[in-house]
Amino acid sequence: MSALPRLLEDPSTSEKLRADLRQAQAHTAAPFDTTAGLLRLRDGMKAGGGPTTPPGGAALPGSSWKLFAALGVAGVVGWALLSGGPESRELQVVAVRSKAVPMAQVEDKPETVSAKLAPKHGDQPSVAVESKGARAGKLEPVQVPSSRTAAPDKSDPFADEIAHLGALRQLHRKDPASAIAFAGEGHEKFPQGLLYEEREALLILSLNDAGRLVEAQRRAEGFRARFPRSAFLSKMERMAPRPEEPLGATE
Amino acid sequence: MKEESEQENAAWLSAEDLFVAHAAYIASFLRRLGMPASEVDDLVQDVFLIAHTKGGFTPGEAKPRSWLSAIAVRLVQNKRRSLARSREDANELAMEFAATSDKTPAERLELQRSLARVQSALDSMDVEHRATFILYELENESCQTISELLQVPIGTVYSRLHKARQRFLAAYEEAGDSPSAGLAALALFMGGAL
Repeated sequence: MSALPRLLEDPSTSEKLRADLRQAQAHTAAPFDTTAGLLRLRDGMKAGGGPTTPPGGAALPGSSWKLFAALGVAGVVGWALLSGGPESRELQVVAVRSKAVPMAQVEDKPETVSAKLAPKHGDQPSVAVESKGARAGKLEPVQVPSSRTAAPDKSDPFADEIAHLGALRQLHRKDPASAIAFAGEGHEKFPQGLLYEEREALLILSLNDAGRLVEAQRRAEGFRARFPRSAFLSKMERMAPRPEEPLGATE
Repeated sequence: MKEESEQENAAWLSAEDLFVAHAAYIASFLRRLGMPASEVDDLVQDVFLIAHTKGGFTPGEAKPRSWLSAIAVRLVQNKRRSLARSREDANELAMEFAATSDKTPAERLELQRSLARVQSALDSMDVEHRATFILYELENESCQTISELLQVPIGTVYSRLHKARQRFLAAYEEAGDSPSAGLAALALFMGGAL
């Protein structure tokens, strides 16, 4: 922005201030043990299910959730977001330090899976789940048996969000209809979440897989505008095209 | 510098590549955002694991370290309720930064004072204003790029930058006038040198 000169370049600011800013610009690193940190990072990424590769890189093997106990202060948990394919940047892994997030158990009952995976504590929390027979888009509250819910550490919202996203990923593959509701719940639960992009992408892909093509394409348009360089865009490009709506049709 | 950043932007970078090149910077950036030293190693890990989750750095408008900085900012915003705010003195942080320079003791003291004045002024701001200020004033990112990085409207970036500058300048003047700042820097320097 030429209209907004930086303080460093603004002759109206004092020379002392500009000199101090130049020093701050030049001295950006305190002592840091990069080697030890890199080893720890590798452990974390390995624990999470495998490395990422550049766009067009070699496909990675399929991935699955793994549960890890924390070792000292460097416990990690991770998962791969989307399974392999030529665009295996979409096979992504996340892990969190110092916390072992309990792995949610998935069973083969689609209408209850989402509820079981809900990363909540407390007695009988209510989770909105789209049942198999429900009209598209209609959500029904489901009572969640508290003894069967995953229980991430409440003190760390990031770990909670990671656990939610991992559960969502599994649900997306097994039961897209329930994944839609579960992703929406995640958006509400983590409005400032760090993993919004990943959650919204899985929501869109689930909408597509569930046959809700108009909604999928509509949300995909918004997603493209907000994340023009997202790694998920190539996956969305392969979604089913939006069906032509009949004239005068209102949704 | 521009050539360097363009070259750096030209290729996809894995989380490991990013870590080798930018972990020290991100550690310092987190300190500048007010994170306690005891938390920084863990937070650095989180930043690069998120970078890994996102598939590494894809070339774009922003420099890799600005992209990582944005992840760090969002991480700090997300975690700030559970993290104690750092009460470390700006002078202490300045001393750490200055310790990496290859200067004479007198020059190092002057550098430390200079960095302490900037850090004191940065400490007067909250995370959002501080991050916007650092990315714009020290990292030379454009407001448009900061808007994309922090996922806020560009109007918000201008507004934050405006307020950040006001706070920074007011705090800088105050710190510059304070005789204790120089003495504290000297005391720390002497303690560190002995």
